[in-house]
Amino acid sequence: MKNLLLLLTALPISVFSIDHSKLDFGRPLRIDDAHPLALGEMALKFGVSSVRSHSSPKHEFETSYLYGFAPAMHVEVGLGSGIESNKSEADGHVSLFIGLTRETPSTFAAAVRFDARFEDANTSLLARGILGGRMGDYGKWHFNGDIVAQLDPSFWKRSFSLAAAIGYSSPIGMPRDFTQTIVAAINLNQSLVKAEGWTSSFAIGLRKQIGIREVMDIGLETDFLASKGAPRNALKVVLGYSKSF
Amino acid sequence: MTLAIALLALQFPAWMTSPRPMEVFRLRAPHNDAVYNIPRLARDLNAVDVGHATAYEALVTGRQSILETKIWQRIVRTLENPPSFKPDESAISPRFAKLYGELERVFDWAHILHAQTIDVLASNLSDAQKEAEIERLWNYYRTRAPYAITGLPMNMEFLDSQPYSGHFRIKYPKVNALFWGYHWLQGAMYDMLYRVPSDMWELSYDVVRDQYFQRELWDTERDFMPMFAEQSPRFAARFPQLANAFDNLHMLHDMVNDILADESLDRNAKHQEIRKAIWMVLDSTHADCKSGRGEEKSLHDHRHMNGMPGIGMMVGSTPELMYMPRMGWMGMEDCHHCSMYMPDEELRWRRATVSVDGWTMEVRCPLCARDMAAQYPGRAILRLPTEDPNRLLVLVGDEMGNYTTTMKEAVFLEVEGEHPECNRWSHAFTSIQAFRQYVRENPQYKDAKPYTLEEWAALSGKKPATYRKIEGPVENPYKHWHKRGGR
Repeated sequence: MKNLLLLLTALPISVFSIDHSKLDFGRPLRIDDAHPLALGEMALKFGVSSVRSHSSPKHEFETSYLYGFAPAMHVEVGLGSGIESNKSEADGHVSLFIGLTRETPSTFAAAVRFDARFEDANTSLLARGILGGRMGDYGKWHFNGDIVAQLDPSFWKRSFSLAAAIGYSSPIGMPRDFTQTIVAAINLNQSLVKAEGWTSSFAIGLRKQIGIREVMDIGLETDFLASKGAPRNALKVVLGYSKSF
Repeated sequence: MTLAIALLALQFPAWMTSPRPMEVFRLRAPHNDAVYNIPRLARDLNAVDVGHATAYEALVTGRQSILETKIWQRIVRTLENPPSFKPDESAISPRFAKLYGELERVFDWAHILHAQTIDVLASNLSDAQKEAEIERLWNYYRTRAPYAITGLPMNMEFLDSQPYSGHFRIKYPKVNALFWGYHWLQGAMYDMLYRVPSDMWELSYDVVRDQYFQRELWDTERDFMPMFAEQSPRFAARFPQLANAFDNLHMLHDMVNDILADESLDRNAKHQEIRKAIWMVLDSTHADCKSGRGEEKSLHDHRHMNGMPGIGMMVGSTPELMYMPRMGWMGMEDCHHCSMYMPDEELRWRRATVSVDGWTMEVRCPLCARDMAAQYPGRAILRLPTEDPNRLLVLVGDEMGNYTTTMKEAVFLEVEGEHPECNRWSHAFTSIQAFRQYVRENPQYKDAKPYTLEEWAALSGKKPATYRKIEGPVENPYKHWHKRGGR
């Protein structure tokens, strides 16, 4: 962890759309903003997380690269690794993010995201609908709806599972401080295991601008409800860094 | 009127009415964010972004009644305690961004150009590399997004003669002064940096910042928005397309302010007028037009002042004559101190400039610069050409006329004669060797003494016999400009 922080702080400072007020999935919460990267923009994201569950703790590291390759569209390539009970695993994903509308008096901000995810021997495809809009003076509401398809599911796994998240974000400290946004979300995830039900979690986080276009994030997430024996994490702590250039 | 707007809407480019996101990233370059080499300037510019966004949000959220009081105080607090990082304006003005997303695009894209050109000037590139890079930025700005603002000179009298013109500055003079103060700073910073040695940036910004905070932000008596070429004539002459684009951007700010402050317009009418105002200054609207041409006082009046392609026609101006707030009537081709013609074209670099009291004027020689500065209160910056076209001597003055420079070896020639020859007998040199070389080549000055900076600064020339005060058709064309219904 210390080494990672050293690595992150050693990165050169410079960098746009990676902004504390714009949410990115995983940074720190599992919710996306309907905001694509600008055309030509690139970004790097790093994150570490630690999960305390009723079984053994799990530690994860993830990194991803994003590129705005066309108007209102960006791709993301990500790699991750995790350690749990001395067993390590790796995963990766490739995403296409398409911004559909910005928020106007007659439209919500809307986007869609498609992921191909690779975890050990399993491959899954995700389609996410993303909506957002203004709420109150400076706040924003967010909604994500997911459908995940397992390409080669075991007999005890679902072929399709669902997830949803609702969230709220708001800059804090204005009009004196323009560098931080607080975000809260409730996630609802259907277990991949057919015999299990749904897990509900609550998460809260902070995105803080620490450089010219650099954002540090920290988040806490806890599962507060699980049905039909679905797995339930006591606490997940997330720390991350994003930079656009 | 409604029919006219509806018909005009048919001409709006498709992007303007599309809700599709289409932001374009800035040109990726090593000089990006180099403005932080001058930390106070970088932070003051960050505060300008907050000031713009805060005022706009108040205007669209029904808080006009406190715009001149609580909102003004809030903005001033930020100006005095500027943020370290460039803020996300859409987070400060979310309602404004939602209502007028197309305007936000135009503003953001032009502000990126503003920021990147300053980054270039504040970088450690050579002067030649900076000029090439600024050309590349302009090309990128014009070609990468459909919402670029034209670099042609526009007739400001025409643009400021719309039915809504003047509402904001009359109703909200204090906040309008802030806007014009921001635009003053954004103009002044170019000549502060352009071809100026890096070790003079901070010293120069001391003077510019004092002027900004002591007068420009609070001046509710200013006749018209600050024009780029009034603050940075050297940069405006070299890059007229940028000077014009920034003036057109700042005029778009004024037009939007006036539209939002015009209570006779309902929300739909305001939106249409804002789209129309954007359309009026877009590069695409003027695709077939040429600088220096156009029908007088029309949308396509692209004439400019003689001797200054980086400024369009102003209220009451002709190509020979314009009224400059605080200075009066003037031309752009002659020295503002001795009225003699100034070198042009390839020799334009031989012009000196003097910045004092919030304006920057081009003059013909160091004596003209020094003596002109002495006529006005406050600290001055003199930018004097030397024998080397690539080395500008920059002098920063105090209230008493004492000057400082980092070019310690600089010496001066001053053998006062008649002003038609002042650019021969008044000179700045980078060294005593250069002075001697000049004297060898010009034996009429063989007995001349090489003055040190201290000695030269203590001199004072006679009032030039060649000086003639320029009279305009009226004392001040801006007097009662909107109050009398100039439109």
